[in-house]
Amino acid sequence: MRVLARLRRETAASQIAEAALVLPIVFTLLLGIYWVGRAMNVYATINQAARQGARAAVTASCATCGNQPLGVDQVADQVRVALQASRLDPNLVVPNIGASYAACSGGAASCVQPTTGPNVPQICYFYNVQLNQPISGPPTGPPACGVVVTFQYPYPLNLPLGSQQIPLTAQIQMEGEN
Amino acid sequence: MQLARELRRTIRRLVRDTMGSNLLEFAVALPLLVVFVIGMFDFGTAFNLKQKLNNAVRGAARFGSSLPTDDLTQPTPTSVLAMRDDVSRYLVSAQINDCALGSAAATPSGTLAWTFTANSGCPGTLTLTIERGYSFPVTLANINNPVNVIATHVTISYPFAWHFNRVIQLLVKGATYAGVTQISTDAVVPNPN
Repeated sequence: MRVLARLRRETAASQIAEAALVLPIVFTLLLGIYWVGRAMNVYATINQAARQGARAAVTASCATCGNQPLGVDQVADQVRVALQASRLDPNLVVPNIGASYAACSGGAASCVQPTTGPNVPQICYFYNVQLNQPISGPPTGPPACGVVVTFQYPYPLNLPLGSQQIPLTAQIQMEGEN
Repeated sequence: MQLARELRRTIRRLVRDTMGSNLLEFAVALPLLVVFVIGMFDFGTAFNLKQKLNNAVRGAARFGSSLPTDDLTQPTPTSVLAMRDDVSRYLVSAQINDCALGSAAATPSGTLAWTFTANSGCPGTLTLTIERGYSFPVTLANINNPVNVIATHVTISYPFAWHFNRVIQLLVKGATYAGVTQISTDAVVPNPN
């Protein structure tokens, strides 16, 4: 009993105890800066990859070969190349099925996905959709038709106070060339 | 007399006493830290918003530059409305409140220029200006007079509410800050002939 009372008054090494309390918070902050920065980097990279795919998709192939637009597999291949160049794994890509657009030919558009296979990013690819469809009300003027490439990439946020997987979304729309 | 001496002694003891000083220092440092962290978050959000706004107007300018000009004699050309919808749809799919820009009416503002204002559900007023006859001079080699390039110019000004506003009073007592800044950006795309 007397020992306990003495220990309660004792302040030697109290800094160790305080450090033990504060260190997890400090490390969460420091590692948080790192991991959130990395998340920004991954976000920019996957958007760049999606933009690469969309850019390829809006460019008609060549006039002498029939001007066929790229198929979804070829668009996905562009995305794969851009992802792999930045050391991101295309196999982790999941389609962003939440996106919805109206088709330029009328009605709602649904996205197409590439044939599954190793290293094929499962993107959600909208072709010939209206990019300026009014939020509400009837169409107002000439439609802006283009493509949309959208997908999600799971990002693991590892922090001392718990880890979490956050899906980062890439969504790029691009108007078609005339 | 007795009381004053007692008080003096207590004060002297308290001045020497360092127990709990950490807590006091923490209390001094915390408001600074909070303002700092919220500031980082806010500026990040603002830069992100500016990029999205820039993408929105660039898309609309690119779309508008290739549109026919035969409807520009109307008070409200459908091509300008279509460009407005391009911006509004982009903002919505980028998860930005478009302040009901999609149903805003066009006001003529100058030669071949129209302005839309919207503020529904926003902390301020969003202003979108579309100039379909914007021109700028370009000096070409071997040609003495500068050539006027006709372009499409889309400008947006978006009200951004700072979260920072709510914590600055921790640092500076009685500080008032409007808390809304207009973030502006524009894009110019030359009209193809």
